[in-house]
Amino acid sequence: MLSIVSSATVAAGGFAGTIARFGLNQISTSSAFPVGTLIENLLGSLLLGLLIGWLAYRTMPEPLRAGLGVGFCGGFTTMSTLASDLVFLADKAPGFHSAMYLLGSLLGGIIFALFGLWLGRRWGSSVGMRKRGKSRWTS
Amino acid sequence: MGKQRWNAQEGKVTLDILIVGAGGAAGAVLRYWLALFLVNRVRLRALPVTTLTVNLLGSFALGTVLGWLFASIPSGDDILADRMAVFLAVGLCGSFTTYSTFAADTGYLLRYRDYRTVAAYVFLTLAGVVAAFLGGFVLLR
Repeated sequence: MLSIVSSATVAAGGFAGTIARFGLNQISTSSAFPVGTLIENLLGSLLLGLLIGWLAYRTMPEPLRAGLGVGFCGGFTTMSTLASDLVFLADKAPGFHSAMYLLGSLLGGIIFALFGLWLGRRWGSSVGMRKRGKSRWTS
Repeated sequence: MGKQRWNAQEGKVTLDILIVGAGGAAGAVLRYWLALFLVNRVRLRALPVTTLTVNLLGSFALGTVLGWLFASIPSGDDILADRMAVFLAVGLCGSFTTYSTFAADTGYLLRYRDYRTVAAYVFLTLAGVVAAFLGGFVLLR
C-alpha cells in the first residue's frame, strides 16, 4: 500500500540521512582511505539494528518507522559509493587497503547490525510495557 | 578521484547541502516505492531481492554518472557539472542504495542459521555491485 504520509517521512529521512553522510564525507576526504563511507555504513547498520530490535517489542506509527529506517538509515548508508570506492581503491592501492576496506565494511557492518539488534531488543523489552505476541524482525 | 573534486568549493557548501539533500530525498523515496512494488511480486527463496535490486541498479547508475563525468569534464572546474555530480552521485545514487538494510538482512539470516542464503546474498551483492558499477562506468566513459 502506497502511503503519501510515509513517502513524505521517507523523503524527509532520506534528506537528513544524506546530508549527514555528505557532511561526514566532507570531513574525511583528506585521507586516501574512504573512512567516511566506512563510518557511515557501520553507524547506519548499528542504528537500523537498534530500530529493528526495538520494534521487536514495541510499536511506532508506520510513517515514523519508515522515515527512520527506510529514509534516514537507508539514506545515511550507501552501497553505490562502496562499489565505486572498491573499484578506485583496487586501482590506486590494491592489496592491504582494499582488503581492509572490504572486510571492515562487510564484517563490521554485520557485527554492528547484530549488536544493534541485540541492544535494541534488550532496550525494547526492558523498559516499561512490552508488546504481546511473537517478536518481529522484519522492518 | 571525483570525491576530492566535489569539495573544491568549500565556500558554497550551503547550496551543495540542499542539492545533496534533495537528491537523497528522491533516492530514498524511489527505493521505498520500488521495494513496495517488488515485495509481494518477486520471491527468490529467502534472498532479500528488493535490497539486492536497488543496490545493483544504484551502483550501475553511479557507474554511468562517474563515467560520464570523467569523460566529459577532464578539467574538473565546471561548477554546474560539480553540482550535478553531487546531486546524482552522493544524493540520488547514494541514498537509493543502502548498506544498513544489507547488513541487517545478513544479520537476520545469520540469526536463523541460513548460511547458504547468507553466502549467496553476500556474494551476489558484493560481486554484483562492483560489476554493475564497472559496467556503467565503462559504458559511458
